Amino acid sequence: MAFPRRSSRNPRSRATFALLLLTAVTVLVLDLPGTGPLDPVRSVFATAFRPIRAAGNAVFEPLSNGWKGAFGYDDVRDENDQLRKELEERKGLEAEVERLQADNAELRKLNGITVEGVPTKAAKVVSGPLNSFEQVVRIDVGSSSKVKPLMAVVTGGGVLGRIADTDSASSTVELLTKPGVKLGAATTDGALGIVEGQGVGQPLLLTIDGDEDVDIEEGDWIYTSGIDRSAFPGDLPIGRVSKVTERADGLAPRIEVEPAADLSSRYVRVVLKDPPS
Amino acid sequence: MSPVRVAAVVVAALTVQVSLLSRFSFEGARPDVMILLAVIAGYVAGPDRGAIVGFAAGMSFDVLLSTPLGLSALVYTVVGYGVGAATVGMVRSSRIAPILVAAAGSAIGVLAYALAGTVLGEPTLDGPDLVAIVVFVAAINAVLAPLAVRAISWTISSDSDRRSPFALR
Repeated sequence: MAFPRRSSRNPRSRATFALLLLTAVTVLVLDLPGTGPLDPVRSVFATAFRPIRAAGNAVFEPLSNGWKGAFGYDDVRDENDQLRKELEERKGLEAEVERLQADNAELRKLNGITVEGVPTKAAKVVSGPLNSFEQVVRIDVGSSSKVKPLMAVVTGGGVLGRIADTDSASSTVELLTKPGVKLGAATTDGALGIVEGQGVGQPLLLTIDGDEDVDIEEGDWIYTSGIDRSAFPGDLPIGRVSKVTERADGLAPRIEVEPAADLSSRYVRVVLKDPPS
Repeated sequence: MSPVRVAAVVVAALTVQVSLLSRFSFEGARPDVMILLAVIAGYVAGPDRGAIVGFAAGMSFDVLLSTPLGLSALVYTVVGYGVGAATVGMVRSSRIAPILVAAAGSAIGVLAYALAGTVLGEPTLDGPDLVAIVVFVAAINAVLAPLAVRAISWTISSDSDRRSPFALR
């Protein structure tokens, strides 16, 4: 099929191109992090598109499930095997956990510590990344459910990430693995540090504060510290140490942490603890 | 080129991208049908219309993405215009040509997006393997190219083009 085409040497063609480029760059500059005057506009358009998206989800869900069934069978089988193995291990740990819980409750009483229950809000993951470069998921609760940016999002396994932004009925969650996402962390020995994302599929990087000589080994659990100026309460599992690399030049060892949360979880909880102002 | 038809095609493509294609992942790479619209618009209708469709597709996608608003619009505009300018002398009767153009244009577009994102401080190079993304997006868009050619042809084949004062010429 042939249609009349205007050459790129046509002045009008170049003017159109220049105008569109200028508009895109202007919008880009206005939306740079920290400014955000276009957030309301973005929110309005996203809200307007929501019904179309919901209809699309309803229509395409079976196709998506079919794809996962066809191409993800091996993964599902492996995951099932892994879950069975973990279940067996957990059965053995139950008694130990009960004993430790009893000890913990007793110690808290002795120390006069009152544990305030932090409310959480259950949410469903409505979409994952929309293209290859996003490292976020979207959930179906927003500011109308008192969800605010920087709040913690957890799964049954541990910390999934933090709220990046919200509108009235949905929120965007930055995954723990996204570069630039940092959390205050603590080892089981009480040493404090910072855990930082390094990208999808990469382990987290743990940096221990100061020059503390920490005895840390592969398999050790890492938790949120709870004392960092963040909305993350303490003692939420972040992950397990997967690799400790000693460095010869006197620097602290490089500690890699495998996230405990399943980053593809469909159901999550938002910890409704207000971020520090 | 009818703005209403362009809007209809962009919204339909966006719905398919968000509700269907974004769920399919291969090694972390996900299809990107919005860039295909820009590439095919440039190929079928020329550089200026390629830029217009690229801008519309990119901006509408940007609204839903968590990346800076305008990033996709900027890259897709350049891609649409570039493909249009690069294929001016190409024989249009070939059935293979749009498929090859879709694959090559999408691959270049994905690379440009990753680089532009990095310049703006986005972790676009810290995600899935860039080679996997380029190959996957190019392959999917090559398959979808004939459909995109039909959709874009529909936006510019309207008789109302000649009558409408709002036609994008």
